[in-house]
Amino acid sequence: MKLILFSGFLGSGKTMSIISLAKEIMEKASGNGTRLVIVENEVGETGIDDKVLSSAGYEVKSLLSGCICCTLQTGFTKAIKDIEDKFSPDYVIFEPSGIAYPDRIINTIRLYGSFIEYIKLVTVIDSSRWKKLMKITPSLITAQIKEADIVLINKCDLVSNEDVNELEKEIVEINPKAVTYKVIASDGANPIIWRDVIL
Amino acid sequence: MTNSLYEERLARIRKAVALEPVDKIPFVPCANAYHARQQGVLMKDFINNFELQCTTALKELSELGEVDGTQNTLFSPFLLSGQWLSKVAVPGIDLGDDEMWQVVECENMKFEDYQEILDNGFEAFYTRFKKEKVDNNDEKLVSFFQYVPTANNRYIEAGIPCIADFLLITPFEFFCGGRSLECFFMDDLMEEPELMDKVFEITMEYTMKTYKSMMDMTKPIGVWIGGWRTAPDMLSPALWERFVWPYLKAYGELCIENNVIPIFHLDSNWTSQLHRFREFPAKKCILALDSKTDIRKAKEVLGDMMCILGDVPAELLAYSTPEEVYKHTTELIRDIGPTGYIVASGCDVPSDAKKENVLAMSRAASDFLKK
Repeated sequence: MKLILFSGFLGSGKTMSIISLAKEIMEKASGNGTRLVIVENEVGETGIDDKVLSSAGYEVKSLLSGCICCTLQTGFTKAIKDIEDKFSPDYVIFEPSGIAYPDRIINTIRLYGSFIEYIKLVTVIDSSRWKKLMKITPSLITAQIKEADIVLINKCDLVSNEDVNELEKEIVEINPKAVTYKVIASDGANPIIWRDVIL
Repeated sequence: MTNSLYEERLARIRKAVALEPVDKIPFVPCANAYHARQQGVLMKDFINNFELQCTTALKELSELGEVDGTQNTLFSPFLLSGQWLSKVAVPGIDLGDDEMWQVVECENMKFEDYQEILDNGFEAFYTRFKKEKVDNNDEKLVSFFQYVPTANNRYIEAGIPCIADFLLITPFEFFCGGRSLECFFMDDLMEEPELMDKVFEITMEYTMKTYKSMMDMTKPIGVWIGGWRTAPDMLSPALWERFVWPYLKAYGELCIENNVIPIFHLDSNWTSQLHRFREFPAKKCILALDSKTDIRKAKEVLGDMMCILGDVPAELLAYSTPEEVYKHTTELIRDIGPTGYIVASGCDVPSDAKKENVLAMSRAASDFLKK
């Protein structure tokens, strides 16, 4: 199982990015039986429209929201184990809560998910709310960027080029190793973004 | 009417709070869904039949070795609705018969509702809101509150003190739930901080008076002061300082003034602000951590003045081995105790915890001072 986590504050554009990745996985798969499962656990109304995805051939399993503490991690770990037992998927895309610290989830998965081949973390940043988010919850946003393999600087159409470039510099300072892309997720992401994710 | 076993265990817990030597490390678990799963009771029955719930919990606790207390005697998911101004999805109605209840997170409360609080006070808003926006929640809790005195007596008869009779909810928690986290963070706190100050002040006028009345009436050993969404790692220091700490502190002081142990139930990471808890009088409080705060740092900063409870991690209890749990718990007792420490899971024992792991946690508490 290859696990791809999507991190980013509520409303950052994770859902659209996940749909883009899911489409890319299934297009590459085309006819070879590749199995993809999407797991979501979002605090708030926004989430994946599972009817849309189900009709397109994606299996969506929901973890409804709950207490923001311990139960989140055991809930996800259990879900991943159940999914492995039931579906043996090639790929699992997981959208944890937008207020989750991804390193905690990854640490738990690494401890108890020996069947997972690799984990990639994609963090989606809402460039139009960057400054506000860094004022409200700097620790969380920084943590979400710090662990990322890929950072999508989203909603670039809503922000000046100067601000986007400045934002990119700040992201690189937090995490020099992440690959950054400037996107408008609602337009669909360039497939080249996913080349390091779909191995 | 208590009994000698009850009094012995309560004395042990009080000694831990007072940082005095104990004869045995207290073990005070917190669990609800776990009890149901272990005893083979469907979740829908567990939350609807309170006599069954109490019987189930007491039976499970009797199978967990030397249990010194509990953190609740009865539970209903509809309590969460009053806490977070949100609907809950419950097994048997909204979910499968044996699924866990879930808070339905959405913008249930509109920004305009704050004006009602300003105009009419929090109580009027709260009563109206629970009726209209949370499916007439108070009605759903009638049978729960009717059974609470019986549940309390059953635990006393079983010799198990309950250290948390009820929960104190800060204004932040109410509105973060009701408005949804995104709206509350991005719109309310950031854009209308002065309005939030006023609304919080009015809310506290109601809650302080109400909680004092409840303390006078029930004379609890302790109460939870909930820090579920208010962790310092969720907010900037300035926002935390303004909208979280003064209210937590006020509740803590209210408890102490009324000889009630404030149990600060702290979810997520509070490491950066542990030093603030030194503002409380020594040997009066419990700091209950959920394994995300650095508990050894908590010991370093607060160990000379505050009892620490927790924080065997949920994932360890669910997925590890009894040997690992025993070792982890023993190391916690060694590093955080043996005085001023109570063994428990970090937050609730998860529903999928293995019984042998929970037993290992209990055994570690029993064995430590025998060595």
